Amino acid sequence: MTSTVTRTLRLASAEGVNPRQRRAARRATVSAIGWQVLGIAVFLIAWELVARQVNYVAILPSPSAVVANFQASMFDDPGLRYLGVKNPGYLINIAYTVGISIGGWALGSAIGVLVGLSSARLQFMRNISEPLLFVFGAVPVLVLAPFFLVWFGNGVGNKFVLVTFYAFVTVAMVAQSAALAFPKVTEEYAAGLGISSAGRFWSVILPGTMPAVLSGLRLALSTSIAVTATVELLGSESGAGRLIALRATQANISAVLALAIAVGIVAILLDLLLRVVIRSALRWQ
Amino acid sequence: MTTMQYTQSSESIGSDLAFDISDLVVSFGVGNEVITPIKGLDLQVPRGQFLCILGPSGQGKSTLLRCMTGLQEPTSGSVKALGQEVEGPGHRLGMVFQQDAIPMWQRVRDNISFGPRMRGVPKSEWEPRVEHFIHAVGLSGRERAWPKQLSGGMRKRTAIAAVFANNPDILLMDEPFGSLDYFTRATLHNTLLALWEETQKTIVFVTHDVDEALKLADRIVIVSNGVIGADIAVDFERPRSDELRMNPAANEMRQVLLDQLESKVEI
Amino acid sequence: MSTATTVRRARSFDSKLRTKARTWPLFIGALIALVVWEIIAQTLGKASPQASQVLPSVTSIVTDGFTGLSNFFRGGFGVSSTANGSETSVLGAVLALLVNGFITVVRVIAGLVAGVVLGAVLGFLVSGVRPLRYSLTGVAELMRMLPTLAMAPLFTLWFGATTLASIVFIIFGVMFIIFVAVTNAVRNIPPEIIEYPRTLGISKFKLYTSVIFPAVLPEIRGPLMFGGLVAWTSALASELYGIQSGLGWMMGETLKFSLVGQMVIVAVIFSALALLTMRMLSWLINRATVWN
Repeated sequence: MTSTVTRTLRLASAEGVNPRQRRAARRATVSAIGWQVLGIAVFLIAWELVARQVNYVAILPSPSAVVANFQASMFDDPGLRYLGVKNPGYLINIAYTVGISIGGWALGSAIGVLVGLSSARLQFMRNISEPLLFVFGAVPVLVLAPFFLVWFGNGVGNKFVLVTFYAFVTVAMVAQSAALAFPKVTEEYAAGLGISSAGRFWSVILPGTMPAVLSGLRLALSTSIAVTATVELLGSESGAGRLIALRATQANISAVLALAIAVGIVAILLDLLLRVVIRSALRWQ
Repeated sequence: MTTMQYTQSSESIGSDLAFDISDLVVSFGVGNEVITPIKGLDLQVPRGQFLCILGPSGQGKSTLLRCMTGLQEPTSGSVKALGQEVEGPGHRLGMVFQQDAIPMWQRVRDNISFGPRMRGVPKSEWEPRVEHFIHAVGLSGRERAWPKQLSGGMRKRTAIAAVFANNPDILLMDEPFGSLDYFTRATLHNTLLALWEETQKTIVFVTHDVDEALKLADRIVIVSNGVIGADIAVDFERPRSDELRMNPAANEMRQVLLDQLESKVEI
Repeated sequence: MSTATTVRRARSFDSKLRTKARTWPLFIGALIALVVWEIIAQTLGKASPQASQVLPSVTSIVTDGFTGLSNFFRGGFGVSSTANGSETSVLGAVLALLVNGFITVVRVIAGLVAGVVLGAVLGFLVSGVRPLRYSLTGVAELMRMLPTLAMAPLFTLWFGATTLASIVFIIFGVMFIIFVAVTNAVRNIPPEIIEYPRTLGISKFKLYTSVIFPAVLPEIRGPLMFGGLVAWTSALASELYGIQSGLGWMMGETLKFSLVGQMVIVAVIFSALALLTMRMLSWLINRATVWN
């Protein structure tokens, strides 16, 4: 005689993930997201209240003032046009910054994954890549920005080269340490099945290190965008960073915040997109 | 070498039962459903007894043990330890975990003195006790080692010595030797029994291994379906290693226990 | 002889699976970089005289490039500034690097320490209360995704072109990284690690200081190193933009006049200091987690 209670018990004790646990986990995530949204809402309200108390837009503009600034200059801004910016709309400049970042990130990451993984298995690759990773893994890549500005001008080139290099270093380091830490047993098992060394690289190491590598890619993307915007502060023909620099000289804090937060929101949206792609790529986990 | 006697602390005298559990119910909400691993369980444990709680996984024995230490609050019913309601974890109810729960950043000696040191017990009081138990579990010479440098069996010895050095009234053990190999387990059984005989403390020991229970226990209870399914006194002479192999009564009891467990296992 | 063959054979499969870090490639790499730089510089230098400023030869970097840095010295210690008409000198260059290097190091250390302490304390306080942890992590995650580096001008507007602005900016960059790392690390402690001390009868305060704090140390190793890198990057960003002292300011000035020779020297010193900081952080964590 199996009562419903014992059946419940049996379900609970079964190893692995049963549908109920999965549902419970999802509910826990939902409540976590709820609290996060609440936290952000409280933060925004507190900011609005403090700003109204300060009541001085040149020190702390309220969130609504920031939004208003963004709305007003989304497509065009006569003030910036007067300062000599050819396309002064915020959106087009953010697209410029983000576009360069994504391009450099994609190229740098692709090279980084291949070099990082193979350097964990081929000693000569390790010897070649070690000097670069040793130095630039522990040194701010931003230190290269002034050089690239002198060498490649203030257009797309310098930023693209810098972001490519940055993404390469970050992703190669993550990929290399993931491949070095990957359990040898799995590879020995594959070798026992008669799979060749090259075959093991594609069939074992690459998928096995994928989770770590993909989280490295996420980190590299959001930082790439920040790096591009920062380099634009130093001198650029276009871009969100260039607008921030111009607006800062006029002490226009609303504009600085509007641009920075807008870039941040784009970074968050891209990160979410990347997460969705990653989740579908890692369904076996 | 003086022999040391560690008796129950005077405040605990007042009940001759180490544990008095009546009508214990524990339910959890998992999602929108409620599961009830303990459903109205009664159990009395006299002082000084070595009790083994036996049962297959998922039948509530770990939940029962967590209620006895105060790590789990009962939904209803009462758990009394030495005459007092258990209201939360504390130094009077020592616990040895299945996993390595000892702080890995404390050397062996510091780990064994961890409890009394952190509670602010005067050093003069705990120091001889710590030395004694280091010696008693066979860790002399390894006092300065980090736990990570020790084998799994040695880490378990450290965990056991640490709990004894904290001088609890009762010890609870949740499958402490579950992850160890056969020979390590056998030597640890002897160490534990020697400490039990020396200190005369009550021990409640959860296991799913019939032979382990037969070797250690005065009494075996089987938890099944959230209640006590069987309650068997084990009165073979100690030490038992040979006794268990030669005595036909022991074989018979093993068979009874295995039959009992088999009827409870649901696959 | 036979033992040698056995040893070699026994090693062979294992070495095919994983590589090892070697020291000599670092030296060879540095040497190759120098040689390649020199070849390009010489070739370009022959083509046009202007190129020797944009890509100066190694010899001119260590001579003219180095002494040129004395332009960044504002006088003192018995050496007068080039602004007062004195010649560029090795001593002036060394003093310029020492003074500005010291200023940057002070900013980095102050900001890093304050950021780590603030982030960690907040992380530990919040990790006990789940709703609070969730809500604050949401804000921190948001802050982490902002292009904080590009917000350097904001801090100059708020605090002026001062050391304080630089330090607050570094704190702003480091704090959220450490906060998120600590809350995650506390959440990932296995339950029995916290339950065991509770069964020993240890107080809540001691539980935090003697169990939870050491238990998270190995897990915040990576974030702490990353925080160190962010601290140096933030210092550079804040000094490049607005503040009139420090190694970053020197770099910004050399950029303004495209003086690559001087830029190289400052960049090398800056990188060496950052590298040293990372090594020290790694050493500190190793010291604190010898037990691991």
